[in-house]
Amino acid sequence: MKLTKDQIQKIVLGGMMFFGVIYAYFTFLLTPLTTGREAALKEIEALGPKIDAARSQIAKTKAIEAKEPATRQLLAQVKALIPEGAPVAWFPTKLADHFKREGIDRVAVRMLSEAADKELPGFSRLAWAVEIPRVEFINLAVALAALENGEPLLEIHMLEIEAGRDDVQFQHALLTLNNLARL
Amino acid sequence: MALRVNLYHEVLRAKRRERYDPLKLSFIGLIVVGAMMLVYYGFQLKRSSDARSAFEAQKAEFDRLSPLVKAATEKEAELTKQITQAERLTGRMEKRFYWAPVLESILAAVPPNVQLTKLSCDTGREKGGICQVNMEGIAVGEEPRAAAEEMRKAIGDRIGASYTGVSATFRNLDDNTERVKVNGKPMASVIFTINVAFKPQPEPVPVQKRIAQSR
Repeated sequence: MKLTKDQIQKIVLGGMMFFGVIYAYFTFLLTPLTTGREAALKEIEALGPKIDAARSQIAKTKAIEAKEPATRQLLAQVKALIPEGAPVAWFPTKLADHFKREGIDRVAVRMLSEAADKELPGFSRLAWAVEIPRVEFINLAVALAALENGEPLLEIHMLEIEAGRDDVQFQHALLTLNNLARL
Repeated sequence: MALRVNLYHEVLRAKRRERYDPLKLSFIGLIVVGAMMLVYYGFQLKRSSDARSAFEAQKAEFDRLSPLVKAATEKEAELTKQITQAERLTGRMEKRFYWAPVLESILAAVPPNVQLTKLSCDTGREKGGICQVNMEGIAVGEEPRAAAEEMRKAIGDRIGASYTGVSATFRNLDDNTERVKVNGKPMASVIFTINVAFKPQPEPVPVQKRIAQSR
């Protein structure tokens, strides 16, 4: 079969149209679709770990929240142990009252230092020197035991007890202790 | 045999030519290919649409979680701060050193013929955490050195019952030139200084022992 010139022209035109349609199909329809899908899949892949991390963070916070009441209670208890105001105004009185209750009348308390506690934000650490010029060893030991048991924020660092020169029954005591106060 | 003359051969040829018209065939092929492409496009569109829907769902979930996570992170930071502070406070309170039991041990270990003239105690927090107790005193008796030695051992034993790493040593043990009267009777005496060092915290109980104790 011999093709006429007109037929050849039609075939050529048809072929050109066919390739044009194929090109347009891939370029303007299929490629953007595929690109969009791949982008969506990539974003899904990226969001997955983020969502997992978010969920685990929420779960972790909930687990920590379970400890909150006990923590709040402890902090409230500690804060309740510390009176309001400057420690130099209430601590010497508190200590003198304690020793008075234990039968030791003469007590001199003075502050040695005050500094913010680096480990405990919101608290300051105070060092005090306590001098008891005349005390019996047993009374002192009992008073110190009561002090150590009754004041959990206080710790005796140094303790010096010296026999009295005039009356050996009585001793002279010097304590260095630390306590915590609110800033 | 009858002779048949096809007078329509021209018409038939034209019809045949029309049936196999390349343009027509091309159009049919194009329609088939176009239909296949359309189906494939539809299939791809469905896949893309599913992927986008999944992405939208994930994004919505992430957007929902984002403020919750932010709030949770802030809350966690605040709670962690509080918990750390509470733990440190608890640790500080629990690790305090109590001097009263040490004084009790010393009181119980000093015999009647020994008098302590000076007692210095230090928790040693700034010196490696070893508690130090220095005792100065005078021992009187027929064997004052033996009395002082007995007291040193007794103090070491008593403190050793509650604390670890205990060492009780004489810093000095010297004869006293003056004779001390006890019940009106002059007796020899020695002046001594004893140093007692120990770890303020008890050694942790091994796990196996702890389990056995709890049973």
